[in-house]
Amino acid sequence: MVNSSNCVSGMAPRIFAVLMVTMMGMCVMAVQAQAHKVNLFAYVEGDRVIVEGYFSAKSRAQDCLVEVFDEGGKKIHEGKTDEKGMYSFKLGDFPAFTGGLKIVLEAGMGHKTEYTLSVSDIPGSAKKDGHPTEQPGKNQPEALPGPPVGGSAQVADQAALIAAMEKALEKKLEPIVKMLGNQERLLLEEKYGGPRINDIVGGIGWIVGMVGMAAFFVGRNRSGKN
Amino acid sequence: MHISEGVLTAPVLGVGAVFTVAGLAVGLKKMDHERLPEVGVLASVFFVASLIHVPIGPSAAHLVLNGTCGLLLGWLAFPAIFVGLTLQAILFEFGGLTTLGVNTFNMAFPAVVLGYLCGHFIKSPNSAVRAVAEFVAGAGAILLSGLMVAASLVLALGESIDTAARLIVLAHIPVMILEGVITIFIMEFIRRVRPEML
Repeated sequence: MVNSSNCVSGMAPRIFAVLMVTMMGMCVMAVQAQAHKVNLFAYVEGDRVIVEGYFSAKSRAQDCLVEVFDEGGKKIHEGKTDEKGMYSFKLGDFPAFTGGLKIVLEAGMGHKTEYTLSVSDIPGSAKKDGHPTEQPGKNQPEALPGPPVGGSAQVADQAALIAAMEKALEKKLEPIVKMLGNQERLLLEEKYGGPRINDIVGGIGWIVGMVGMAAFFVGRNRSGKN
Repeated sequence: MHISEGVLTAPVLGVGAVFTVAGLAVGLKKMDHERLPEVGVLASVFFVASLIHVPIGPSAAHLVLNGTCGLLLGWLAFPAIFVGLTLQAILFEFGGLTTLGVNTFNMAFPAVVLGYLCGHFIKSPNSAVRAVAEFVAGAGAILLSGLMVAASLVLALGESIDTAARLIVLAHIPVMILEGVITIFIMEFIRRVRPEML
């Protein structure tokens, strides 16, 4: 046992130290380097679904196949990302789907990832229960329970008012919606943005631990034999 | 070159897993006390190397260093690369746990092959012969791995072999050259510092 432990410590010191230093250097490089996983992010803006594929903040997944599936797993649409890794499609083109969407990005060479848009992410999807999209906007004013006495002039007034309010609100809310979208993207990027130094050092720690375990068992077998 | 979850079909995954288990068995059988630290260090090197992105070319190519593992470890490259890939899958989400078998075989088998093919020549007294052998080991392991990844994808997806292979090999040409050079440096460094490791 004494012999064997001498053997290990005698073999290692210099090369070990040098390799550790090399590895630390690699870690530092790695933190600046890019992740190698393909990521996908999708969100709804107006009536379009926007899909972004990227390997890291700087390297976009260009010209990659995007496939869209409905909740039943049926493929309803496909397309390709542009040079910025972006792809978008109109929700209105798929009046048939209900509920969420699953979006799959294939970046080739075995890279593949998916993102699910749930019902709550798709503001328009509540409409899908009843009438077709777009149409209700025109019908709504007439259906409004306005005072019956005023006649058509008042109804038209009210409709104009509502339309104006909606427009104003949309304008006011636009920056907030954008901000929320950015915020969400930041969170996601932090989550999927590639390995952090903790993970890297942790992984090396795991390996050191495994070598220790293995040394323990190998050493025990040896001393048993001797 | 990590194949993600859900890309391959079950038979390909199964065959990969069987081959990897066989390679691991051979590797673990050859493992002994003296080689342990070496295996650990190279597992760490392999683990970290994948984070070094090679910013040339169209895709997300990174260092692999399986040629170096093969030259230094021989069959022991299997356990080292297996451990490295497992941790990459868990911590970095590179590849995946279900594709671990295929990925390990695709990286470790070329390492062993090139390690044995070039292992003899890196002991040559002629430094030019050594450098060529080291470069071939580093670059060749990537090339063979790329071809095996292409073959796995073709077997699973029925893509045409020449498109898949061409894409992967083209994307990895910068990596091949870089790894060849890095392998020369690592080997010459070890030769100076600790020649008995070779």
